[in-house]
Amino acid sequence: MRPLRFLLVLLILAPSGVRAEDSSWLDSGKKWVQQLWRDDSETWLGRINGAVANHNYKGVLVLAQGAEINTLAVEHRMDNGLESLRMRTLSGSPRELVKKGGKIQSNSLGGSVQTFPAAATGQITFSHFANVSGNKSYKTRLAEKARVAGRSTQVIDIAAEDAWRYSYRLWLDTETGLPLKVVTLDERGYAVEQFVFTQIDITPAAGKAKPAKAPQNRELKSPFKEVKGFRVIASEIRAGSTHYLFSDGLASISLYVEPSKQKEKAQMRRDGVNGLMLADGSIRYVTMGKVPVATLEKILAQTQR
Amino acid sequence: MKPISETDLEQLSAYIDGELSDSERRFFQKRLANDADLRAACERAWIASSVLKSQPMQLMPAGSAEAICAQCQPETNSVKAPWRLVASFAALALVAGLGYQLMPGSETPAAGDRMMAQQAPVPSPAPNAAEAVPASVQKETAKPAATVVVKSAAPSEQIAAVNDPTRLELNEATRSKSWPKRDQAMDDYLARHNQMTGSNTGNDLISYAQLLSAPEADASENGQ
Amino acid sequence: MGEHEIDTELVQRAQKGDKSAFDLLVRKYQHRIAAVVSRFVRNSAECQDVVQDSFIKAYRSLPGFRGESQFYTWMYRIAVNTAKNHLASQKRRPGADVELEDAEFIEGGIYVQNNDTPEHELLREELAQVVSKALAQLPEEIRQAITLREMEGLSYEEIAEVMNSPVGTVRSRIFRAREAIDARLRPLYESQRVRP
Repeated sequence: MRPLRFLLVLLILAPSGVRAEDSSWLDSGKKWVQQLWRDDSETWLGRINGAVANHNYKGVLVLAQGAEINTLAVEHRMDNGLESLRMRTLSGSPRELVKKGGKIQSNSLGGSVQTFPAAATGQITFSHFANVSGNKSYKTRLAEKARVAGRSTQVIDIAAEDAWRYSYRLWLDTETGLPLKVVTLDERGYAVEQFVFTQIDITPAAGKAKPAKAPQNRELKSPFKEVKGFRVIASEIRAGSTHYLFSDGLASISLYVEPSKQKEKAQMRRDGVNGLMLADGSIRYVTMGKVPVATLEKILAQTQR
Repeated sequence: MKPISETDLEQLSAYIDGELSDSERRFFQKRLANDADLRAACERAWIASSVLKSQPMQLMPAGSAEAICAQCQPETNSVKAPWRLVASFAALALVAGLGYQLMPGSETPAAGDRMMAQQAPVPSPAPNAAEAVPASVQKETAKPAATVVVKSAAPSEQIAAVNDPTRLELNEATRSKSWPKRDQAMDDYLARHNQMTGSNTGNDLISYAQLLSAPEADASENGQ
Repeated sequence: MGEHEIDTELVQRAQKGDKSAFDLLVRKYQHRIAAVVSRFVRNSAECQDVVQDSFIKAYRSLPGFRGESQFYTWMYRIAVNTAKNHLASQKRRPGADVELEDAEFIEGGIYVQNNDTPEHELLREELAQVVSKALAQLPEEIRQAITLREMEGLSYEEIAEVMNSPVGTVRSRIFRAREAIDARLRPLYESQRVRP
C-alpha cells in the first residue's frame, strides 16, 4: 500500500508542484487559445448574438448622427429568451421607446403613443452585425484593442467590398462580446454616425436564451444590376405611393414610386441618410438610405428606364 | 506659454478650415511664421479634429515637431556638387569659345555666345531625391475623375476609388452640383423610411433611436 | 479654400524655404503618420524615430513634390517605405501575421492590427472621452456647427445654409466649440507630457 499511497500523494502534489514551479505551459496554452480567438473576426462577430441573448445591460449612450448629438438612457433585458428594450432621451424633448413582445412603442412622455411591429424574423438587437459573416458585400477584419466606457474592447472592421455602400467599425466588449461603440463610415472615410456607451453596467441574464435564428434568405431577385447585394425585404402601398425597402444585410435603401404631375429634383442629407427625389411630370421617384449618393443616383437611373 | 488672444484663436479656427479670406490668410500666415505658440494651438485643433473624425492617431511626444524641423536641412553636398560641375563646364566652355573665336574663319561673337550658353548646363536646384524617395512616390498620381466616379464608373473603378484616398474626396461633386438641396421636401419620406427600417431591419440601437426622434404626426398613420 | 488647398499652400511656402510652413505640416500630420508607422514598427521609441526620418526625407524631397497628389497621401507613402526600410535594415520582417498589403491605410481608419502600447491606448481613449464630453456639453447650435464641419465636412457656407444662420455666426460657433474642446484637452496634454 505504501507505493500506492506514495503515488497518490505524488498525483495530488504534482499539479500544485507544476503550478508552483512552472505554469508557463498553462499560460502558453491560454495565449494560444486567446490567439485563435483573437485572430478570427468572424468568431468575434458570431459572439454578438449570444452576448445580447445572455446579458442584461443598462447604461448611457451618446448617439451622433449628422449634425445631431443625443444622449439616451438604455436598458436591455433578456427574460427566458425574450428581449425587452427601453430607451429614453436624456437630451431634447423627453421621449421613450419600449420594444417588447414583438412590438415597438414610442411615445413622448405624457403625450401620444405610436406602436410599430418589431422585426418579424425574431432577430435580436445587433444581430445584423452578427450575421454579416458570409455577406459578400462586406469583408470583416480584426483591428486594434481599445477601451470604451472603462471596458476593454476588440475593434472589428466591416469594410464595404465596393463603393456602393458604407463601412462600419465595431468595438466589442472583450468580456461579453457586446457592441459598445459603432461607427458608420461613408465612402470618404467620414463618420456618418456613431454611437458609444459612456456608461454601461452588464449582468448575466436570467433564464436560458433561445438559440438565435439565422435570418432566412429570401429568394427575391436583386433588382439592381450594378448595385449588387440589395434585395427587397418589405413593401407597402400608402395613399397611392408604393414604398420598397431594400437591404444588403446592413444598409437599407427605400424607393418610393408614386404618380405626380410635378417636375422637380431635390437632394437631402439628414442624420446620415442621403435622399434624392426626381419627378418627371408623371411619376415621382424618391430614394433614400445610409448609402453614398452615387448609389442612389444609380438606382434612380435604373428605375427610370 | 503666453495666452493667445481670442481674435487669433478665432482666426486660427477659420484658417484650419480654409475659411479665411485671402488677405486674412496672408496676414495670419505671417503670424504663424513668427509664433510657435500659435502653431502649437493649431496642432491641438488638428488633434481634436482627428479625434472627432475617429481617425487613427498615435500621439508623438512633446517637442517632436521642433525636433524634426531642427533636423530638416536641405541636402547641401549634392547642391554643392552641381555648382562645381557647372563651374568646370563654364571654364571649359570659355576656353573652347575663346579658342574657337581665335581660329581663322570663326563665326560671329553672337553665335559664339549662343554656343557657350548651350554648352553650360542649367544647374538643378533640387537635391537628388531619387535616392531618398522610391519611384512610387515620384510617380504622379492621376487627377481624380469625379464625373467618372459619379456618373458611369463601373464597380471595379469604384473599388479602385475606394482604395485610393486621393479619389474619395471629390464625391462632393455629387452632393452639390446638379441636385438642389431641399431637406424638408423629403421629411415625410424619411419618417416612413425610418419606420419601415425600424420595423423590418431595426435590430440596432440606432434604428430605435431614430424611431424615438421621428415626428409624431407622420408616424401616427402607422399606429396599430 | 479647402483643407487640401491649405496643405498645398503650406507645401509651396516650405518649398520656398519657409520652415514654419513645414513645421505646421509636421504638427498636422505627425500623429496620424505615427499611427501608420506603428503598424510596422512596434517599439514606441523606434516608431518615433521612423516618423522623424519620414518627415526629414519628405522635407528633402519637397522640391520634387508637384502637388498632383495630396500631401498626406504622399507623406503616407514615404512613411510606409521608411518603415519597411527600417525593418529591412534591422533584418526583420514586419510581423508574420500582417500582410503588407492589408496593412495599407484606407482613409477613414480601416486598417489591420494596431500595435499600440496600453499607455497609448489609454491616452487615445481618454482623448476620445474628453472630446465626446466636451461636445456633449456644448449648446446645441454650437455642437451642431462643429459636427457639421468636422463630421460632415461641410463648408461654412453650407453650414450657414443648413442652420439658416449667417456665415459669421457659423464661424464664431465653430471657434467657440474648438475653444471649449481645447480647454478640456490642455490638462490632458500637460499630464501626459505630449504637449503640442
